[in-house]
Amino acid sequence: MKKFINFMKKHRLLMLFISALGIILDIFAFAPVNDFNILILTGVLVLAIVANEIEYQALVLASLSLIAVCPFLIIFKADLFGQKVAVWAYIFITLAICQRLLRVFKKSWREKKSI
Amino acid sequence: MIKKIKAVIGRKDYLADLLLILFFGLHVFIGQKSGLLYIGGDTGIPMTPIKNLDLFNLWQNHEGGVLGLNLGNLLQFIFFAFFEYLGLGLVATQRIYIYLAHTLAGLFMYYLVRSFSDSRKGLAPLIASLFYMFSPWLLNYLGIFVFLPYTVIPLILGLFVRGLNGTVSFYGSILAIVVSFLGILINFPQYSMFFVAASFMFLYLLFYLLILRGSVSQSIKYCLCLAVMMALSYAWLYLPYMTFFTGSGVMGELETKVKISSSVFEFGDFNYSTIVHLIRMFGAAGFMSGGATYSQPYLTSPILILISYAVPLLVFSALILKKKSKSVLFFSLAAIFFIFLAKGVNAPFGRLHFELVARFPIARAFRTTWNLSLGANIAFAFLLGVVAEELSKKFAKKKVSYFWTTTTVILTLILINGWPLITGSYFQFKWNPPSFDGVKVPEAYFNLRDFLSSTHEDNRFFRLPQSGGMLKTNWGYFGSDFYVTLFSSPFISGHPWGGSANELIGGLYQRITDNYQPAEAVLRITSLLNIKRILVDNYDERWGLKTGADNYFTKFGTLEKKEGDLRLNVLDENYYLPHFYIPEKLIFTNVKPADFVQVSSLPGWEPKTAIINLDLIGEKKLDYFQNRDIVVKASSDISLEKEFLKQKSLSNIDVKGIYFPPSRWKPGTFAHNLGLKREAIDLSLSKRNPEGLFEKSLFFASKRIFEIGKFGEAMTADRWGQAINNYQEMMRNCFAVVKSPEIKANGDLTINFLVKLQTAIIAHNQKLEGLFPYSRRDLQFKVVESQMFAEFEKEIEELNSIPNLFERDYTLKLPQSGSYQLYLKEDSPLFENLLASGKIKAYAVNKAQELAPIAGMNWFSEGDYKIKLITNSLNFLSDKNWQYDADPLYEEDRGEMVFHFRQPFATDKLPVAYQEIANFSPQTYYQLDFDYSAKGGRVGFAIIQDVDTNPKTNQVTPLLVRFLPKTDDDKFVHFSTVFKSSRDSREAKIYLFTEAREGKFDTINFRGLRLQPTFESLVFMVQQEPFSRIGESANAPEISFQKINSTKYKLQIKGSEKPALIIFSEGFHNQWKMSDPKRPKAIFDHYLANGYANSWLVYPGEFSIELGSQSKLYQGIAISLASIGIFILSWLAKVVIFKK
Repeated sequence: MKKFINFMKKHRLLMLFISALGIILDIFAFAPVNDFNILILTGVLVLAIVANEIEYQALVLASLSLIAVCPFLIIFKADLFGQKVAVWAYIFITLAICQRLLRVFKKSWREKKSI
Repeated sequence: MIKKIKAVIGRKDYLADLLLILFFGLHVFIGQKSGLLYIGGDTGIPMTPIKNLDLFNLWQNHEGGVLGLNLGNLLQFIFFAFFEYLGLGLVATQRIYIYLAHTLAGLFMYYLVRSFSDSRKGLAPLIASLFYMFSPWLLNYLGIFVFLPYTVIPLILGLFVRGLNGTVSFYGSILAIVVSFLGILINFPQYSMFFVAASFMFLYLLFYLLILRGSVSQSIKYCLCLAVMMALSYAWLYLPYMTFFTGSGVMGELETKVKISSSVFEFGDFNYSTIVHLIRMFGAAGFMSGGATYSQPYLTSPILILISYAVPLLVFSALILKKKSKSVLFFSLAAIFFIFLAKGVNAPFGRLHFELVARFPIARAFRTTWNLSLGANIAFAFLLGVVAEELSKKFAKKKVSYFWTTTTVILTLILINGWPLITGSYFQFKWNPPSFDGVKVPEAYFNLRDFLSSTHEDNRFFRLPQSGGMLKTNWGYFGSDFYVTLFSSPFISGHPWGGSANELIGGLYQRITDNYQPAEAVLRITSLLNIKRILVDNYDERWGLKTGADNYFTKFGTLEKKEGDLRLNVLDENYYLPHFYIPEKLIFTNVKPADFVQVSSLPGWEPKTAIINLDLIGEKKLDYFQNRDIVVKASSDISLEKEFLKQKSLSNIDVKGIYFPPSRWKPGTFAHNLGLKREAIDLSLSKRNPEGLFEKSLFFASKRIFEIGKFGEAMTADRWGQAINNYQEMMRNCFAVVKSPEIKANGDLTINFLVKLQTAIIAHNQKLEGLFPYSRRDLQFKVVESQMFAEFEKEIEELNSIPNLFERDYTLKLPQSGSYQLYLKEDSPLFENLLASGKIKAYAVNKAQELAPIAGMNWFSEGDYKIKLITNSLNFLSDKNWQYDADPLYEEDRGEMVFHFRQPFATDKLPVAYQEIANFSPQTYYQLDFDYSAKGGRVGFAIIQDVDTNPKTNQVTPLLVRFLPKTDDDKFVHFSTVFKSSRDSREAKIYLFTEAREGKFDTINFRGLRLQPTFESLVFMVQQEPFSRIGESANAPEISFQKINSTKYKLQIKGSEKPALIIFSEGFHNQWKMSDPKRPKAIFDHYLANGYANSWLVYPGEFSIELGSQSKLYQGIAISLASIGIFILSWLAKVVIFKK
């Protein structure tokens, strides 16, 4: 486990790069939304978030940026890309909320323990 | 308490907000025209409110008797009845109803937002309320102007949050939640809105315990108490329906009406309720596919698209703007949770939802999932309120006036996003007439309703035409069948949610549409349904059978009342049977209720007849009944109708419809191999699901063709071979599915698959042929491919081939030995002639396959039989009758008639050869056979009937036109097809023609042209007993009955010593119980009669007939009232005695 964590930390930027590239490829290169791709890429993304200690605000911002792209894709009739961008926006916001929930949960747990 | 109220009223900001919401609620009156009702789509209102309270009885007499599911409408019905009692008209009541529903939604949202401490003050509650009132979510619900769950769910959540936190009284909040749930009941028997409310509450409970660290014991106590109170308070709703949660009940209905196969296309929201649209609160299929006249701008206008996406941007920015707020975190969680649920079968992970719905019948309420986004809509409203407040505050720090600017911008955004709600155009959807402003129901309906009520008779009227659950009238109404609430007298309108009489009623409407003769046979069936009157609704825009109705009902009845375009005919006494009757004759048969008219058209029918299914009564009991006939219908494996549909579908093949799924990976690469592995897994998962296997195999086969097309020139010979092998394997899968017994058993599916398969084979072949010139290396594959397609085509040809329709085998089982008469029936008039002239003959086939002619009465012992019906070889075309408009056109060659066409078929000229079909008869199936050779060009033929020419435009729409493919060399190819002549046709001509090819006309040869009639031929074996009228004998039973309500009857039978079979013309259900007050333990044999009704075998006496579930309703009401009473008493005791 320790080895794995060390490996992750050592290659954190690489993981971030892989997940970013994977998402871009998933949106623009692969055919319709693919659950398998999403599952794998989300796993890599989670690892990248943990390894790089990315704050949840960054994830929310990423999600908002993707949502902001959606109307333009719809306007320009690129509905398939719009759908995939929206799915990733949804995944980013979900990860952000999960991360925040975990933090709040840990904090409140610690507070309760200290009482 | 009073102090609290005073304190609340004393807070001016609170009051101002409320007034503002009440003011904004007035938007519902914009665009409303005086005197018009807003009904249509799925919006129905009680049209006779006080009388409609009868609909709360669990049994309704309409449609032959159906289970009443109206308990869910309690709140709405009581509301309308109350205002009718006060003397208010329907229009005024509906205005109040719409206003209250919209405004209360805003007020309840306000209440919900204020339930959270970090959003209690400031702009947040007001903005949240306004967003909720003008939410685009509402626009997605086409034709539903008031959706009560939308109104009450925020209140329920607010009460729950406050109850859990302890900011409102424990008892008060529980009681208020219980009452508020009445608003969700309108969703019954669906329960998606219950699910939204319950899951929202559960989500908050988890959040409260895990994140807010609320008291566990207090929460358990509160939730337990709430659950128990909910269970007890709604005992009146679920207790009576418990018995219906069986195969014949609600779940049965859901299961049969909502069949799930392998296709996600059966999910209404597939491809609509996607995340990209759900995040802007859209996604309903009706809305997204342009069903609403106001939806188009949201889908196409760049400005509106940008505005609609501004909402999720603002909403989720709450996570940054108010990052420490736990309520923001909770509502964000709720938003993503409900968006995920609402996307249903759409990506990502749509398969999970599909499997859930397909495998668990109880989950079928979630076939349409879009409306689950209501939870997200509530969360969005909260978050938008918070964002509006935060942004306003932030900007106000720079300049005070920015506060108002920000607020105004957000408010404008909300109002533009929900613009149709402001203008009132959300009442319009594309099936309404242009500029729909509401409707005025013609007075004629109300007058006729009053007339029918005044007769105080216990019988039904039969509406023509069939409503099918939806009505479209010439006074601007399009929506669900409103007869249920308009007429208090029982009726039949052919609603698809009819009960056990559904099949019988469906068959009856079908025969009337087909102008079935003899008309008496149809009227005999109406008599089985306790129908006394026929209501012809000429307001119905779809009504195309006015003359048909005259044929049937004016001839056998008299005009009783005419109101506007409504005509009421009362039927002759001979064609009316009362609600209870003792049949003088019984017919035991294996004929399905939809085809009872076939039985009633056989000789031997008496005015008081009942039809009993043979399988339902044991053989010994058969002898027990006097005056009974046995009618056994023989069954055939061949259905001409299906054969006809198959040929018709195969003649309309369009190869353009074949989709070639794009592939990015070259065969042989790692990614491609991975893809193939995934395909193999996908196929193995579909092994138990033949429909899925077929669709997927065809999809992957098309993908292979695409790959060969894209990478073919760069592929090695091995790879090419592998691709072709894989393609072949996929196509073999498809053939195996088509040939499988379970698909063969489903005629419609077989036709569908055959057409798809044939289309795919043609399209694949064309695609490969047209791809690129074959190089020398590829020649071997050209040969392989040609052989493969030739094999496929041969197999398809075999599957498509027409079976022998002139020697048809029928099988039947005779229930007992005796003398049976053979009857052959057929709709076609030609059949009778051929039968009389001996051209059609029936034979009994013994085990040695020897044929023995059957005619007249024959003795048969009990058992299985095979009957062969042979139609003599006939040809309604003559070689000598061809007419031409140019020559030389034909010549005799080696004794065979061979046509040589050298002239083109031109639209401005008569076709080159034609002849009139001899003895052409309406409603008749024909088989056309011929050989042809056409190496030079396409050959064609057409059948044109006299009724195919539009008399107004002179435009001809032939019954049948076919172009046939060219043939190789001079080889003759056989062609045959089946077609059916139209209902009113009297004569027809066959035309043969050819097409020009580059200005030259080649020789086209026809030979062996043959047109033969063929018949569906219903075969019956009838055993008739000599009839003696029971009513004429001294001991004839007399029957009298009294209707207490639709669920309870008193019955008295006198004058007979023998038991009698009583027919009760209400839908059969095991909850109908007959009891004898003098012998409470007596059990009576309960049978299904007339295909839908109840019957009991009883001795003379006095009886009571009751629907068991109704007493469960009364028990449920008692439990609910008692538990609420005890709850209130314990609350009072706590307040008064313990002063808490």
